[in-house]
Amino acid sequence: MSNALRINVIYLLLLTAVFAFFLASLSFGGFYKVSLTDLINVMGSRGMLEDPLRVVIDMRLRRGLTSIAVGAILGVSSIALQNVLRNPLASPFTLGIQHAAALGVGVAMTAFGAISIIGPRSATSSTVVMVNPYVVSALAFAGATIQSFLILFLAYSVGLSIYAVILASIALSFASQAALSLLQYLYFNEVQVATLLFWTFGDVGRVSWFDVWLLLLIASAATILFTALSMDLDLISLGDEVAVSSGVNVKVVRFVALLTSSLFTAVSVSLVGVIGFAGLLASHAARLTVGWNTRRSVFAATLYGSLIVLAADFLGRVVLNPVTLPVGITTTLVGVPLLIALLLGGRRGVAEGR
Amino acid sequence: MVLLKVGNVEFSYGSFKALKGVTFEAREGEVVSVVGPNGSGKTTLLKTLDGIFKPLSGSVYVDGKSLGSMGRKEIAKLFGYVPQRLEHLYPFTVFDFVLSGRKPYIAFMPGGKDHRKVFEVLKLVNLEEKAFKKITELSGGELQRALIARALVVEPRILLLDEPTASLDLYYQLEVAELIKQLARDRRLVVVMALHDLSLAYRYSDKVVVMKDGKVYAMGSPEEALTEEVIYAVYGVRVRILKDEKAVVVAFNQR
Ligand SMILES: Nc1ncnc2c1ncn2[C@@H]1O[C@H](COP(=O)(O)OP(=O)(O)O)[C@@H](O)[C@H]1O
Ligand SMILES: [Mg+2]
Repeated sequence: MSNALRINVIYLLLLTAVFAFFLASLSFGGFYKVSLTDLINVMGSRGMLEDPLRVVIDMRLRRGLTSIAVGAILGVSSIALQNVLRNPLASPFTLGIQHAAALGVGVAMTAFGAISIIGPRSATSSTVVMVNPYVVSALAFAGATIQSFLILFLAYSVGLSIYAVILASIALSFASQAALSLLQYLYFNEVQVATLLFWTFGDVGRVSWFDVWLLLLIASAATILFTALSMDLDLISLGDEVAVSSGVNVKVVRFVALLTSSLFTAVSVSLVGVIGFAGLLASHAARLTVGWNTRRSVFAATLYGSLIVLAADFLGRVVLNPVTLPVGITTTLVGVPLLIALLLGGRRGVAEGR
Repeated sequence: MVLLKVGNVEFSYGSFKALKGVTFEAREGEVVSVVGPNGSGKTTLLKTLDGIFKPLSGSVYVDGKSLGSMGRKEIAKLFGYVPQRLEHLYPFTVFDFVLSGRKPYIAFMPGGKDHRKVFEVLKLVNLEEKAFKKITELSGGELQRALIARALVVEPRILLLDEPTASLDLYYQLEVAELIKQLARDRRLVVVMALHDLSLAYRYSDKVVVMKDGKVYAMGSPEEALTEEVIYAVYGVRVRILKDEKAVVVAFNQR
């Protein structure tokens, strides 16, 4: 089957590209240039921890791995959401799930004092410390879940079209952002405001090693879960009755997919903030290149998502070097034209379900 | 042997009664056509047979066992369902689309056996060459055959088809009807199909169920059930039955 061969070549190219960008993001961006030999030397030796090179590499390793994990999470969550809602425009960002989670983070900061800021009192160099990371994640999850099921209600009980669902979601995400601004205006000091800014624009540069492992674990769990559900997701995209007729428990699968993608999104938002459009971009790139089959597009979306966030973070660090742009700004600049193109080309393009 | 038994089945959409005391049975290898005007309950009946809708009262039995006592997977293995049309069409390849019908047998990932079955049914409906085309790019007749292949790939004992010839030209209407008849004979399937075309029903069925307002108005062999009187009573249209041609034609003079 030449079809299978073509798809394997695409996977291979994507893996190579992810690896290449990962290496590049270890080497450039910022003040230090790290050569490949430096990298091997530092990784191989148990040298002094104070070695500045080691510190730089450690920081960039966390950045790179975080980008890979978060991109994968957003990519596969977008595929799952698109199938269970039968809406090719769905993603954690376009459905406002990320913003609802960010509002949860804001509530955790104000009402529960779950986050404090240490180090020099400036937004770019201070370290965010979650006094109670569970409260932050739990409230982010609560926000994300409420938003997801509100969308389910709008799509099914109210019967909005796929475009109306997206418009309603965008309106709801404005509401989340306004509520967040209100919290800032009423309760936050300027350092808190500056810190929260990183949640609204997404930044992969502030995570600890524990967070990195957590994100990688969640990315793997998401990929495995949606691969295991891939056939159910295929069938649900063809219609509830077709799926029921083939023995799928549609209600359970839809519930599980919405709840878990809310959870995965919430964890990513509570650690790295809102990274707009990365998931939508990754899912469409996947479907255009490997087709509608969910098993294949889940795997491809993992790779495209990783690639997109890695590349966006890399560009954000080299283009205006030494200034570093938050990764969410870069992905949004690329993503907005895509969303507009999908809305305009909806009648003919990938966006049309019929 | 009687394989399918429908016993006094009632179904409502909210307060609207769509099926009222529907009763019939079918033997292995038999083709049953369900005819009747729009809104008489044909689609509702097929969905109730497939267990998509649960009957309000009464039961559907396969091999003497009630659907109510079976799990969703077990029912899915017994019935192949060809819907009237797909509400949502996404660019799956024909292969993946047909493979999705194997779902009741697939726990995690499809294996070699599933792939073999897909090619087997694609061959049967003469669609092998289109295996890696997208279903959104098929003609009406090709899509209809892909839907039939999808229903057959689970190796059902009962095949349900909702107006399988509605979107086809004359040639494919006959071809699909022949295919269905041959499947019933060769695989000892029960076929229940909703039909609009009374001539096809007359010609290709062993049994005809005539529905009116959710009730069975007449039932029996084509000659018994499809009479000029029954058709006038149900459709309000005068027809002539041409016994030699096995055809039902609309009378020129309606009085
Ligand atoms: N989802 C539904 N909700 C409410 N009424 C329905 C629904 N589907 C069908 N009906 C009604 O039930 C009756 C039978 O419909 P149906 O089984 O589709 O008839 P047929 O297939 O014979 O044209 C019709 O009066 C139709 O309006
Ligand atoms: Mg119908």
